Amino acid sequence: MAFTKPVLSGLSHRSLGFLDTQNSLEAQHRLPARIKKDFNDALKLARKFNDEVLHPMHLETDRKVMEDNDYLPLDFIQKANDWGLYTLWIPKMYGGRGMNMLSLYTFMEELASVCVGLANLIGAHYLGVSVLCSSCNMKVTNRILRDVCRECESGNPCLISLAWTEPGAGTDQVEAPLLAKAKVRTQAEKVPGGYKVNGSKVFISAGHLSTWHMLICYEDIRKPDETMIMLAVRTGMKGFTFGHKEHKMGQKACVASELIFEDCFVPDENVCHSGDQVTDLNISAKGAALKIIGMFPAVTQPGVASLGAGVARAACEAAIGYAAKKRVGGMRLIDQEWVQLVLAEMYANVMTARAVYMEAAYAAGMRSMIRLLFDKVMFTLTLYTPEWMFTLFVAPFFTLEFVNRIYRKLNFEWTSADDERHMSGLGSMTKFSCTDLAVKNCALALDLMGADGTRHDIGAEKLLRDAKLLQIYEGTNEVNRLNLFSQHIAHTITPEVRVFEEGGRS
Amino acid sequence: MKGPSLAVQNEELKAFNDLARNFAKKELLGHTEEYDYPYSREVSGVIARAVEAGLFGINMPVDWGGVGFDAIALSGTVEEIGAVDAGMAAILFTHAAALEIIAAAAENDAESCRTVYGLAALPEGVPLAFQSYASPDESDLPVVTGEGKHLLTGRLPLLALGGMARYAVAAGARENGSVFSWYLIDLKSEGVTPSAPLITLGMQACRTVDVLLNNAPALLIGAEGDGGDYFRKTQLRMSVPAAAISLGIMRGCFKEALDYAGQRWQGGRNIVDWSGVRMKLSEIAIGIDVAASCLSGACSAADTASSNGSRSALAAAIHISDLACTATSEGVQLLGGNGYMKDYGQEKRMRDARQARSLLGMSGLKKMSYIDEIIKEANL
Repeated sequence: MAFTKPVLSGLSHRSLGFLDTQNSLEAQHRLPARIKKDFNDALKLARKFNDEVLHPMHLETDRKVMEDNDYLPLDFIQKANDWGLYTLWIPKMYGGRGMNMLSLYTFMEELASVCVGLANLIGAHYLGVSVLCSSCNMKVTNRILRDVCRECESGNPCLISLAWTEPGAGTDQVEAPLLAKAKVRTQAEKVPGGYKVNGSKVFISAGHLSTWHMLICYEDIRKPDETMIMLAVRTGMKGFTFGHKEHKMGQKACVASELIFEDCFVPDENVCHSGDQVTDLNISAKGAALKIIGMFPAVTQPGVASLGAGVARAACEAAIGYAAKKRVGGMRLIDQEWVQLVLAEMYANVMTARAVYMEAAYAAGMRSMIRLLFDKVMFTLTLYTPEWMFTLFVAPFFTLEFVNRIYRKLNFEWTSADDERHMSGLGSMTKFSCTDLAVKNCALALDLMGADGTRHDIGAEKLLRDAKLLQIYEGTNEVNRLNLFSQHIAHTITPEVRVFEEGGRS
Repeated sequence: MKGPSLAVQNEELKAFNDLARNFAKKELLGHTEEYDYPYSREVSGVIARAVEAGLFGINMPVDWGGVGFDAIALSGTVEEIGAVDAGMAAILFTHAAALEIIAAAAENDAESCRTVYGLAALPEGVPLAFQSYASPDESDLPVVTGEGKHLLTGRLPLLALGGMARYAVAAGARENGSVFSWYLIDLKSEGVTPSAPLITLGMQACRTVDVLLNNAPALLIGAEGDGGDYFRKTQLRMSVPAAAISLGIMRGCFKEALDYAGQRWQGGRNIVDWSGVRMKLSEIAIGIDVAASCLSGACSAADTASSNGSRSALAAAIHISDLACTATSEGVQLLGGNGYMKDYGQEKRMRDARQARSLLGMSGLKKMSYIDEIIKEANL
């Protein structure tokens, strides 16, 4: 059966309207011109950091973890901290150095073009930062991020992890429609002065290396969508321990940790989000929870996509370098037409991935939870206001309840449903497109390099092992495809299309 | 040299397949992770037990204590082993490929190969080392010098089993020579320096090393300068077991994915009840059926010994290795985060499938030689 006319009309006019997908065009006049300089500065910094830190250590680190899965690259963390990378993209109002957050994407691409595992030791920290910010609790966010900045600046790396995935519930937790059915086990029981947490989290990126952990758990594990809360747990808190380190195929530099909570008491002052905080808003506890889990991926998924673009580039560069040197039958590979066609394909994949994640980056600057930071007036004020003025004259307001209430209203109530849908779908599309291109380029590179490509000491095989995880974390690419369908296509169809709810034996 | 035909139809070979299945179950199942790193558990013990079980003698001539089948007969064995641990299958493959080079040389001059077989058949001659992951066309071959004797100087990169075997079958060429020859090298002789074991993407039970040769003495196999002919014959014959290894990996992948899908609970049901999951499982299962048909067809065609038949084997190897790479990547995806972890077998299968793709040379070059043959026959 062909599409009916109303369906076609919906797709072309309501969802995939040409202007809606021209974020870069719109960004030219809506975003501050200064961001271009920030992108270039981030790029220069990344290249210097790659030359001095990543290049000399990435293969060795990978090998060390192969030999001893308990090995942690503490030296890398220390160097990254010495370079100021753990505070550079924290907003000035929270004590950081306030680099434009969109430039983090280009920075991550550059690092991932050498080693996505080491890159993620920085990326995972900013995932934690983003999740904390998405709680819209300025009081707790300010306190924790200032603690992070203080520690980092005194020479002690202080990272934040996101503790979300559970042994029995990965995918279920990241998609709003599935959350109600998730088999979660990590429960937070209200006790005087705080919460008592029991349960465990797995696959937590950089968990063992982090000081703070944004723990997403549930007051009633039978109703996870209605009772989700976010707590800030500090390493060393009683009842909180690290479990095993996963034996991963790749991205070995970035430890994937198990976090165990046994009667772990978390004080009220560390409650980043709970249903109680939105009782005076025109939104339910469930609605707020779903807003949060929809809000931050729109910002963090383009980050994963930028890692994908970086790996795709690394594979392309490896293949070009190899083909330029390798002679077969007396002729260089690169002089052969079939090889040139493959290399052109790989190059195009890199450019496509970059264009896609940059489009999402522009959209994030205009429509996501960080959009206020890119308002031209706000951006300029922030740029030229010294950090101490924020500390003295702005930060105290974050402790005021009415300021927090307005901020929550801004993010939970006064956001456009169209923008949310657009950003959620775009984040998913960006993530799966770029990471699929990364894996594709790695496979093409290995095909071209034959046996040499499979050697660890050459580095190409590591790219494939590393890239594969990009298709899995922050929602598998299949789940992200379904989310894209749900956000950009399903709502245009009449009668309504159900997503994540198809019939089955159960 | 041709022995009984068509592995799948031969009762004797079925017995070997059963032997391989039982061996894999007893010796490999549950231990694959231990062998999957060159600096972890030693593999010499399990290789010795495979030798004892007779798995290394399938394509060794009867006169030298083997079973006397051809390389195609090895397919069922490496498929069964590959379904559990492709690394062990690569060990069998490496030894068999080296024997096929000798067999190709013996087709024209059996007498001159007696000494070579004599050494290869000795207990310390098993297994033989061989550069399983490359064709001589894509390698810088060691230079051969000496009059009346053969001294090799150069490098043998990624020599499979080079760290443990006594003898290696390797190619070398006279300086400025456009042709190459095959040699048997005693890896314990002077002038042979192996590197530390190399880390490779997959099939790591089959340990590899780089070997430096400095005027290392070697024994010529067959006629000098006929190396290209021997390799082409070997490549075509060994393409069938190469394809079988990939098929075995796919079978292991599907089994694990299906078991997992039947147990894992997401979205309020077992994931096997989501149609998206079923579609992925279906695509892997279809890939397996296509690969099995393709392999069976290649076996039949190879049995006719026509050039078309030989090409079918190469086509099967290229196509099935491609299917295996796709299937195993999806196999990881079906298990999500668990698929990426070493607690399950999927991540290893994904690496093994990619490693298997480079057996006997780069896939791009194999495709080129495939079409070259057709164009040559068409007199274009």
